[in-house]
Amino acid sequence: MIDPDTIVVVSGLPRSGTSMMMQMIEAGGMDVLTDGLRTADEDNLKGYFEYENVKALKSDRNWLPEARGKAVKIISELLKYLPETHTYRIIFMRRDLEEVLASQDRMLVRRGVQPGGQAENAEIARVFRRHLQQTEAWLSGRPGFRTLYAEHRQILADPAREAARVNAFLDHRLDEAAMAASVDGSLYRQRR
Amino acid sequence: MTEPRFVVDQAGNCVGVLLDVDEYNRLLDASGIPESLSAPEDEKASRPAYTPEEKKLMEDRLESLGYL
Repeated sequence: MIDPDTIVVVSGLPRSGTSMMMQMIEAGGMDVLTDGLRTADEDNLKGYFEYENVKALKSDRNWLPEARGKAVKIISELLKYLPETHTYRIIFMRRDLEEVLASQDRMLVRRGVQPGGQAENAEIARVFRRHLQQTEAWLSGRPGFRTLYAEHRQILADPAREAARVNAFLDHRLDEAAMAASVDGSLYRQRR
Repeated sequence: MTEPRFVVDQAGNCVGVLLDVDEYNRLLDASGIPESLSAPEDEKASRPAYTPEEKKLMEDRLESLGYL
């Protein structure tokens, strides 16, 4: 049985489906740790489900106890700063890297940043691939961490089955039907 | 700040200090020592590592997207 103090972390690269997973978990009835500062926009029509303090995880972990028994979104690059003084269930989102980069490029444009183009994206893809391999290896060796990998495409293809997988990982505490119903396939705009 | 608890040996010599976890994390943060340096060697070896160029590329991207 999941410890009530365990922190559920939804992780992955930005634009890998982490907000969608947070939305599923919230719909399923679990409390999520968000501050609502980053509001819904064209890139995330249903909101970002973010908590601003996460960005400072490297230097400030005093807020972490607030996340006990809740779900919080933490991008994969910041996972390494989670102290082993807590226990975690990590739901790690995987998505086709080209789709991730295309979605990130669209987001950059909306934020007024000119994307670097093909050459830079090829380099970033190489770095991200290595980052994901290393992060997965790192996660597998951490005693207080249990990880479930969830595929963005599979969630959209079969939300009910993926909701059941996530719910089993979280010891069947959530409403699977509500989780599945919260998935909106029409928002899948970077399909390859 | 909570009161530290001291560990003494049979002769009454203080040989250690117990801190609660939040206090330990606060002191670690205040020390400026990254947790990666205070972690055991085998743990450090398994953590993601990048060249400075790769690190900058990744951090710039994440910052531009608003995630750092």
